[in-house]
Amino acid sequence: MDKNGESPTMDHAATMDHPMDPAQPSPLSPNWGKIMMWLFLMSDAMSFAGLLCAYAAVRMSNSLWPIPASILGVPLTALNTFILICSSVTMVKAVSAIQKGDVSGLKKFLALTMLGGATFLGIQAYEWTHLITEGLTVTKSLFGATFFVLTGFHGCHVFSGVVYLGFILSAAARGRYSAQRWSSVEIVGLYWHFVDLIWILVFTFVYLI
Amino acid sequence: MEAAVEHKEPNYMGVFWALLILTLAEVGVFYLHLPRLVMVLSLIVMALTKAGLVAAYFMHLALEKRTLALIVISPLILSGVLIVGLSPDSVFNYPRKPPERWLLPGQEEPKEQQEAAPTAQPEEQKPEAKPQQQQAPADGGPA
Repeated sequence: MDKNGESPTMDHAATMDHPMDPAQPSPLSPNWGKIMMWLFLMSDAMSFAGLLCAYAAVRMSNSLWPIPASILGVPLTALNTFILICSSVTMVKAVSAIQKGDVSGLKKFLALTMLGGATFLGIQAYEWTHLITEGLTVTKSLFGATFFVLTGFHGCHVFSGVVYLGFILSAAARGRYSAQRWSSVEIVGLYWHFVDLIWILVFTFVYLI
Repeated sequence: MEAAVEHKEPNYMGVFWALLILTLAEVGVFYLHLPRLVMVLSLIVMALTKAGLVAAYFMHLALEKRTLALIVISPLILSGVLIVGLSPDSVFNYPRKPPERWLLPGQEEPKEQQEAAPTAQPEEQKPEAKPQQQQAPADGGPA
């Protein structure tokens, strides 16, 4: 299976030696670790869909809803969106580095991705602090409640993603990955891109519209 | 299985530039003060395009087997059902209090609604007229 970066003989060896190896082939073409991550991401997407739909229902049934930009800062958040998109690019660079066997490139790009995530969180923390001192809180209004729940739920995902990337980076530093063995890096990439994807939607629906 | 698509790398930087340009376009549309419907529709189209680009190329969905894409798309159909299911709540202004015909025979109208009504008034007397009375405050309710 060249798709997983492994030759058929390597596959067989992996099956014998590591029965729980995420790179093991499954009835579907992608390996099972990847499918499990996709299934998790889809259930996660339903959580976000529920929150976004609740937000839409509350907002549309409320004629006094404020224009979000009158309260929230769009330029700073646009910058944050840009940072998150850039961190997605460093993530794909990390995956393609290890697919070529470039471990130091993998470590560099994983660290850059974590830096992007941490910067995003820092800017969001600054924004939250500013809004809370201005008087917008979860309990003050429905606007505050939906804003903090949606961005907070996403922020938790970014935080978990940075931690998850940290584990992968430490495994990379211990030499766990190679040109034949990089499935876990691709899987953390799936998670990270999903977090980016959700932010694209949250930015549009909560800040711009 | 061996005949699967060879792992060719998508043009990541092209996707990055597309995402960047779409983000700038979104912010631009936001500052243009277009009619609200035009703004909302174009923002939604651009956001979904960006999300699709990330899923298709960064998450390699376009390069995987079709089965995986089907697995991924099927729950999204359910989230479409969720939007449809919630839409009555957002489109119609339901009265905040239950209409009278939902009350049990022994139950009484909340008093602040109509002070003139005597408490002992039986509910069955004018079941048709009362829901209309209740509509009026409910429509003006959110204002």
